[in-house]
Amino acid sequence: MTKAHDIGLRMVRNAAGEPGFEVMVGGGLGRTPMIGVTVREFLPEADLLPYVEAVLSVYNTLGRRDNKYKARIKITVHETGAAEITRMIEARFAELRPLFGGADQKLLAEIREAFAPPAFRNAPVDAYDAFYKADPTFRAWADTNLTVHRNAQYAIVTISLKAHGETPGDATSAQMRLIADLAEKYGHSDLRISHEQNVILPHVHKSDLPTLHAALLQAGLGTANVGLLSDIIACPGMDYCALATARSIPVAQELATHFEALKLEHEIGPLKIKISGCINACGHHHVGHIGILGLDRAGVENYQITLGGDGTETAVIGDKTGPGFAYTEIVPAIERILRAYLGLRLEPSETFLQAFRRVGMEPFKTALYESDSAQDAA
Amino acid sequence: MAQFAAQVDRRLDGSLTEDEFRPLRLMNGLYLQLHAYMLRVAIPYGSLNPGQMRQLAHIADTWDKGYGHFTTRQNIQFNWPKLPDVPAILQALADVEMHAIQTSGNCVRNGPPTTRNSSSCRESSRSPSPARRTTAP
Repeated sequence: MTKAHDIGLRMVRNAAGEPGFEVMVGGGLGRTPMIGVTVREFLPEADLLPYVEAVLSVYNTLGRRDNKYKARIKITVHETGAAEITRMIEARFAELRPLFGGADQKLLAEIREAFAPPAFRNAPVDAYDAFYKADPTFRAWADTNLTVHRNAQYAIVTISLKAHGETPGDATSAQMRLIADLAEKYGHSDLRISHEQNVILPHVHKSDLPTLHAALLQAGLGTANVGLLSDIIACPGMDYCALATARSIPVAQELATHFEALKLEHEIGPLKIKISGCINACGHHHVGHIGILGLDRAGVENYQITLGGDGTETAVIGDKTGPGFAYTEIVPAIERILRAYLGLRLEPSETFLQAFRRVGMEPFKTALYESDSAQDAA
Repeated sequence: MAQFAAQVDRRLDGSLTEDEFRPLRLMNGLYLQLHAYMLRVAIPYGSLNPGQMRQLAHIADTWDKGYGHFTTRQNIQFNWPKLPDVPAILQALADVEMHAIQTSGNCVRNGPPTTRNSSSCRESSRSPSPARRTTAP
């Protein structure tokens, strides 16, 4: 998501192997989605604070204060142009850099110690390997909800807050207490909340995973769907939000239960569906592989679909398919898109996003609008 | 904390109008939604320790409806707090070094280091969390 932020910082190393940052400026979602532009390919680590201050200083000079919808830095970058804003940032940076005498680096070193990795255990992982082979429920979960850890004995666990039919991102107090207990017992007391509305245990020894998984399953937290269709980002929408123009949560719930009933989500593979209930885009729909935006058309909920969005290092804002769909039509519409994908993909390993990039919008539009229910599309 | 508690009292007794109270509550992360107030609690770097997670559970049970909502901003939102209870909730958060400041309005908000990659990912260049802390304390 670094390219969709006001200031995005991507950690990189230069040719000499030194750590630093690629600096991107002027990204953002909301009602005016934009992908950030790279103003510096490689910024040495020690220059970070003066450089970010230079960015903010230029923004402070040029930023729009006449209209709150144009106040964000993305508008400033867009109106000024990438080349000119880069020139201004670099000029300001040259002025600011000498003012930083190293106190920030001393502070950084102290903070770094506070984020030191935990004391990793050295223990056999045979039990994990055996359990992985023997238990298909565990294997399905391990395949979707674990990420490779830099220590081969460990795994990064994503606890899904997306049980099929539940509100994405909700956790009960009992679930929160269980997660706290499990982090203490098996996760070096470290918990991370992800922007994808799940909870991450960054360091779990593989030998603890079967026990951890069993405890999660009992609490409704063992859903094997991270990165799949039902791992949906959804804003609170009209069920809670004063700004919303349509409901988001029930759309997410129905999509999850619909494709769970069809047993299709593992077949479909990696897919990001993101749902916003108004143009402010809290649900990040612009960068969903499938984005759903709920609007109000003369008092009736209407859902606009975008395809091909991407929030990663290859970030793209999704394209609109065409006319929107009524509440009762949105789930069947998504099914038509995904049936089309299953027919279009060259092989099961070609993801939805890869297939979309290869064939473009047209085949999906055809599937969406030139079907029997086309006349229902409003 | 005492200042906001006094502001809540003045809102409750009517000496502050909703328009006057709005900027004051937003500075403390308190929104007014369709059915109720909503408290957006900051989780800097998306990072929580178990004690903090248990305190969130305690808040959900004591002053909300027994659940919370984790958001794309890596915050947790409580959807049903009652206005007179909000100062007590903020105190409970402060007890575990948490708060709801700067979760609304024109300010540097909570920004995510890519959580899954923080200090554990094999491909990760280095941990982004310390740098995040120096850029937005």
